[in-house]
Amino acid sequence: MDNAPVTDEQIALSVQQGNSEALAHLVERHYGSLVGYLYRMLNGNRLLAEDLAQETFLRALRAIDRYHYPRSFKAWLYAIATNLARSHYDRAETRYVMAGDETLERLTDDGEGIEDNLIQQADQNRVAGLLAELPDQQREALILRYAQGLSIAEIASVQNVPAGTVKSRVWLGLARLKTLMDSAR
Amino acid sequence: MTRKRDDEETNWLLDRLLEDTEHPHLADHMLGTAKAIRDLPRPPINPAKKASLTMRLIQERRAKVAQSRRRNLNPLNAWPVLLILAQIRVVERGIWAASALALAVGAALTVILDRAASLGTLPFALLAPLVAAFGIAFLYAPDSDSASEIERGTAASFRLIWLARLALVFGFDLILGVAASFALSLISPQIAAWPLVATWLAPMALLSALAFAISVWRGDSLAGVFVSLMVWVGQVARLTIPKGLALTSALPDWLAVETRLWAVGIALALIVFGVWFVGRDNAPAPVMD
Repeated sequence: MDNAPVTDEQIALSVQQGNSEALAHLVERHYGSLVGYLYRMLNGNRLLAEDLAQETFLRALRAIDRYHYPRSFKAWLYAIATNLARSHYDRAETRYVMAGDETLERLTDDGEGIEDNLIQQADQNRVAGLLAELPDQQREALILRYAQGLSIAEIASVQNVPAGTVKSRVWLGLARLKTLMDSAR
Repeated sequence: MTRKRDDEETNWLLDRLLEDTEHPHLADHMLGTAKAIRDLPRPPINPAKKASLTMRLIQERRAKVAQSRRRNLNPLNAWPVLLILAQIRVVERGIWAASALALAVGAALTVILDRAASLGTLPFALLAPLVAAFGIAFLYAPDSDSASEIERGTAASFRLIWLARLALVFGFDLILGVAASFALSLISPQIAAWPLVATWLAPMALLSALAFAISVWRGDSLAGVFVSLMVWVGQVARLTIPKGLALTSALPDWLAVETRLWAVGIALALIVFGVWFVGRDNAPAPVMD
């Protein structure tokens, strides 16, 4: 593991072969972004996002022997997370909630003025609220594409659909979100 | 510095949008929307939770790896053994009882007749190869047809599964035969166990392989039974009919020491043929009427 760069897929293979410590690299690389993804998917519920991120890693570990190298590990991990998020929002009505402590943390962490931060905060909340109005699959595709930085092929693997379908979901989602944002102004 | 980062971010988004929309003006048009998604709130990460997750994952994986290593050290968990054991429930149950009963009858006859002039003429030595051959010919009973569906869902190849069944039934008869030979040597002091085993083992392999090859080739267990029976009738005739008859003396004596290597060689060739034939198109197990 010392000879960088080592890909996620190589690390996953190493875990399959019995190198348990290599898991730390996967957590280090993906935990933060996975919490971020689930946080956005679950409309700002940080505690739930953390719980589901933990559950995602546990499920990935328990199924690691079924992971097929060299399939994208990131796509595989996000597929598990997406399924967990879907089963959550299928059975629970979620609303966009921004925790107070996070707002405070963000306001004090940034060196900019509080007023600017509050405006930025309000804009972000508004976009998150509008995003929640999109169909689930479009919302997933948009977040995976522009917030998480996954490729079209990776999203196709996460959503288990052809790349063309992902492209149309991304495009339709973008167009719809833009319309919603424009009409909200 | 912040401006540079913003520019990089914008270029990154434009590249993605261009890839997604394939039109530069559409990409520009959607930039603000994509940027709004990119700028969605990111929650702070709790390092303690992350560290505790890492520890939990590593511990769980270590435990699983250790358990798996322990399991792999157990010879009963070796895959060939597991594959053979898995076939027990698929093989026709009557085969076990019929084989055991026939061998017991052979052993009993050997004791009752008490003929030890030659090991090759002992009823047990004559019966054991035929019992194994019949058992193997009847491997594919009509009600085991559903096994082909199970086989299609397993990772093992069709040929390997049939080879496992062959090994299972042959191994069963072999164990019973060896046990009976030792029992006979204890009951009748003039019978030596290992020479007796050596007498029937090669013919048992030959007849079993012949029954297997014929039954899979013809898709009919009775064909396997018939051919192996005919070969053995010839053997018995050779032993019982007085010498001088051209027909019987021309037949090979499969119980003789000189023919053992030939018997084993022919048996191996027949098994190779049978296993190749049975899996040539991943064909299902032959169904018997």
